Amino acid sequence: MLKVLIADDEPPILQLLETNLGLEGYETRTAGNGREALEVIKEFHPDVVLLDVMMPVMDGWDVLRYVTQAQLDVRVILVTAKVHEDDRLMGWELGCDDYITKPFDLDELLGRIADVATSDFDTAAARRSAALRELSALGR
Amino acid sequence: MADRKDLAEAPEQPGPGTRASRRRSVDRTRIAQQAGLSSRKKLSLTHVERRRTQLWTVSLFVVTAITVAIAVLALGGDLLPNELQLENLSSWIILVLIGGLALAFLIYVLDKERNLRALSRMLIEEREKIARLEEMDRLKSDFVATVSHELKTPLTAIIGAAKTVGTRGDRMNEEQHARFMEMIERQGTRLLRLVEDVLDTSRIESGGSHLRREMVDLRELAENIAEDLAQTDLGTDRVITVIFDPDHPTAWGDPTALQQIFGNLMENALKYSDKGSKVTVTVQETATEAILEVTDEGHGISPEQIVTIFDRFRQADSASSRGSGGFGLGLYIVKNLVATHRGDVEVESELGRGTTFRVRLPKRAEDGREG
Repeated sequence: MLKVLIADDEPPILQLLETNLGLEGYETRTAGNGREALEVIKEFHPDVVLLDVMMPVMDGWDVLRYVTQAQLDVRVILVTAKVHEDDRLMGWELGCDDYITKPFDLDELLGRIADVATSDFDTAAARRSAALRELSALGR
Repeated sequence: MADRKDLAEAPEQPGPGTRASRRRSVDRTRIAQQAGLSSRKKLSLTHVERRRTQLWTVSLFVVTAITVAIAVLALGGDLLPNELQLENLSSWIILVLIGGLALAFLIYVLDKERNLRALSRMLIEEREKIARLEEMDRLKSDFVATVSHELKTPLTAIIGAAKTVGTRGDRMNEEQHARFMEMIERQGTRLLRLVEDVLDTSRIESGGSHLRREMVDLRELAENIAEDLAQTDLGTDRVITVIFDPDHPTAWGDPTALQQIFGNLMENALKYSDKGSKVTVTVQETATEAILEVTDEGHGISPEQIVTIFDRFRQADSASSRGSGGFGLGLYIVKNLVATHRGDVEVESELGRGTTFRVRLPKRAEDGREG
C-alpha cells in the first residue's frame, strides 16, 4: 500500500484529499504546517508528499529544500495556488517531482500521484529537466 | 507653494462660459488631480516659464523708462541740448544703464533662484507622489494576488467535494457523504463572505455607503453574532463570553454596519487566538457613548504592525491567518464604518498576551431626544 502525506493548512483541502486517497486505497497522514510535515516524513516514511507552499510556521519551500538537501527518499508534489512562472521555476529548481496548481482536477491529481510514485529516479530527473527547459523557454 | 491651486486651475478658467465648458473644466481639474503628476507638472512648468518671461519684460521696460526719464530731466526741458548738457547727459545715461543692467541682473538672479527652488520643491513633491502611487500599485497587485489565492481554496474544496460525491459517492460511507455536503455549504458561504468583503471595500472607497440611523439593541446583535461564530470551525474550541452593562445597551446607527463592526472584530479575535482560549466581548452604554471592547488571549500584534493594522490589504501575519482565510479587509472596513458613525476605534496589544479592540460610538444631540 502506497503511503501519502498531505501537508496543507486548510482543513477542507486536507479532508478532501484524505478521503479521496483513502477511497483509492492509499494510506494517508496529514500535516497542518511545514514543521509538522517534516516530523511526519521522518516517522511515517511516505512514498509521496502532497505539499502546499503557503503554510504557517514553515512553508513548503523550506520543507522541499530540506527534503532535497537531506536526500530523503520521498517524492514531493507541490499542490499550490501559486501559478506564477517564478514560483513554478522555484519549485522545479528546488527539486519537486511534480507541480500542480489549485483548483486541481481530482482525477488528474490522482493520476499524477500514481505516476510520480511509480517512476524511478531517472524518469523523475528527466521530468524535472523537461519542466525546467519548458519554463526557461517561456522566460525567454 | 502658495499659488499651487492656481497652477492647476488658472490655465483652464472657462471665464463666464456655458455650463458645459464649466463642467469640462471641473472634469479636467479632477482628472488632473487624479492623474496627479503628468498634467499638473506640465501646467506648473509652463507657468514658471511664463512668469520668468514676464519678469524679464518688466525689468527691461523699467530700465528703459528710467533712462528716458533721466534723460528728459537732465535736458531740463530743452529739446535741443547744448554741448555741456550732452556730455552730462551721456555720462548720466551710461550710469543709469549700468545701474539698470545691474538691477536687471539682480532681478534675473533672484528670479532664477526662486524658480529653481520652486522647481526642486515640485520635483520632491512629484517624487513623493510617484512613490505613493507605486506603493498603492504594489498593494493593489498584492491584493489581486491575495484575492485570487483566497478564492482558490474554497473553490478547490467545493469543486473537489462535488466531484468526489459524484464519482466516488457509491464508495463513501454516510458520514463521509455528510461531511462533504457540509464542506460544500461552508466553503460556499466562505466564498460569499470574501466576495462581500471586497464589495464593501469598493463601496467604502467610492464613498457610496448610505447609512440608516435607528436604535439598535447591541445585546441582541452581539449575542447573535457570538452564536453564529460558535457554530463555525473557529468557534468550536474557543469560548466567547459577552458581558453587558446595562442589560440592553443600545446605539444609534446602521444595523448592518454595526453588525459588520461587531462581527469582524469578534471573528478576528477568534482567528488570531489559539484553540481553547477565551474571547471576551464587553458592551457598555454610558450617557455619552456606546463602548464595545473585544479582548482575546491570542498572539498579539507587534508595535510595528499595529501602525498599519487598519490599512487596506494588511494582515498582522499572512501566515498565521491563513487557516481561516481573509483578504486583510476586515479592520479596514471596521475603521471606515466606525468613522461614518463619528466614532473611533483603538487597539492595545502585547505580543503573546493578547489584543483589545475598543470601539466608541458617540451619542449625538438628536439621539438623546429620540431615544
